[in-house]
Amino acid sequence: MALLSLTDVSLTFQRGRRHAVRVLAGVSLNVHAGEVVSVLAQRAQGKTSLLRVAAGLQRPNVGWVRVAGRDVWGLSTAGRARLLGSEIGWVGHAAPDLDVPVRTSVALPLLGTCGKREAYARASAALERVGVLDCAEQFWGSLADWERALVALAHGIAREPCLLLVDDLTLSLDLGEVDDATRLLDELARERDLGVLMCVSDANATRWSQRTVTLAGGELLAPARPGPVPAPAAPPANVIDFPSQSARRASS
Amino acid sequence: MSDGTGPGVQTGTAQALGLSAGDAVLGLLIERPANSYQLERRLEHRFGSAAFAHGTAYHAVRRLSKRGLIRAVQEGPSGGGRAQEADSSLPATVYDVTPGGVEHFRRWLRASASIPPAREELLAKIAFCGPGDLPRMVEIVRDAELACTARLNELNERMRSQRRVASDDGWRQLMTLIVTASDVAWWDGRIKWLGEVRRYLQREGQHYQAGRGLGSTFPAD
Repeated sequence: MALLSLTDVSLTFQRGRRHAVRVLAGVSLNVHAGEVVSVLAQRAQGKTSLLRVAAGLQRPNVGWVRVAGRDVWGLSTAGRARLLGSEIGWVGHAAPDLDVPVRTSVALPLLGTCGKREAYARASAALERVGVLDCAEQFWGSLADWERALVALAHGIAREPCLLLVDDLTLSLDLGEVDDATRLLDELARERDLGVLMCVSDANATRWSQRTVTLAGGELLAPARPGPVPAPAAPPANVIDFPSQSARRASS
Repeated sequence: MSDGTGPGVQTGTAQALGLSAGDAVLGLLIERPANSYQLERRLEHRFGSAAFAHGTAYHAVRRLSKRGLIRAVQEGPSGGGRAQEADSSLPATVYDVTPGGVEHFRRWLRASASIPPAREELLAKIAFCGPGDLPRMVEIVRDAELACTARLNELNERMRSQRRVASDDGWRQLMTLIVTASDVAWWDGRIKWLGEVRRYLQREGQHYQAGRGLGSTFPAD
């Protein structure tokens, strides 16, 4: 069963009475446990909207969204909030609202589900896993872009979700950092059986994804997965018959 | 090395990329057994002198022999090759293809040879299409986007498996990363360009439909 399943999802934003902006059109996509799926698109093509729909933050006009088998829009508001709080991790590149030390900012969202001591312990574990525990007492403003990306990732995994939604995390990273960050996502997906849906605007960020699809004009284009190539049992009749082979056959 | 995965190169199985000298020599040997000198001459005759560098057949024969795709059926003196060919009194080593070589060549022959719809061809189609052709143009561009995305997936898959195997040489990894990034950037640009073209064509198609009737470039039969 897919961790995340989007089926024929369409999203249109109304602009006044006469105009409508089509953001997503008939999008279908599955993300399985242990898999990193990248959505490659230019800016303003609906990447963040797609993630918001997947997280249950934005209701699509048409279509179904299922997370871990549950119909997201069949849940109550409280149910959706619980789902977002426990099963889904969100990784963005925006600065946190509060200017507090990194460890505190990672621990704060956990306080609704566990005690302070445990929240801080889990925040530290998440920061350590992504390799920025030494930044725990620093403030967001003092972090480098690379450290910010990793702290954002720590935010996402601190709740130990089963589904991670990543919004253009690598936007301000250089080539090597993009590679390291996306490889880390691949490792996390494998070791935690995590499904990762990652929207990116740079194809270099897709290199550690098991699957890449593209999004343009609201349409998601997903190439079919290449299947195993069956070995032909015998040469078909219409294939070139090489002289030396016919000669061999005749002589044998 | 880019491993033949770069722009404009078929990205199928590792051994069946484009027209390599090995594939050409294999094809010639399947037609009839020959020695290296004869192969060199036949390569030139078949593909023109500009297609392959001088000495290509000799190198290809060595590689194919090592891989067991061809075998010597008439042994020449040791230290054969060009030296042996220079002395016409010595019998040259004649090679023939092995069953594995035939199978390898058949696989290459049947593998798709065309790269994803070439931009030049696409541009020409777009340049000559009329408003009535726009729906079909949109489909063609969409197919090209899918093909390019599939290539990107293949490239990523191969790169990942290489990197997982050779994980201890940091310098080599970095160099590989830089080189593959060039290929990836090419596909990235192409996918984005195609997406932009498709959106533009879709929008224009809607405008024409809303305004006046669509007509094709070509007169009706």
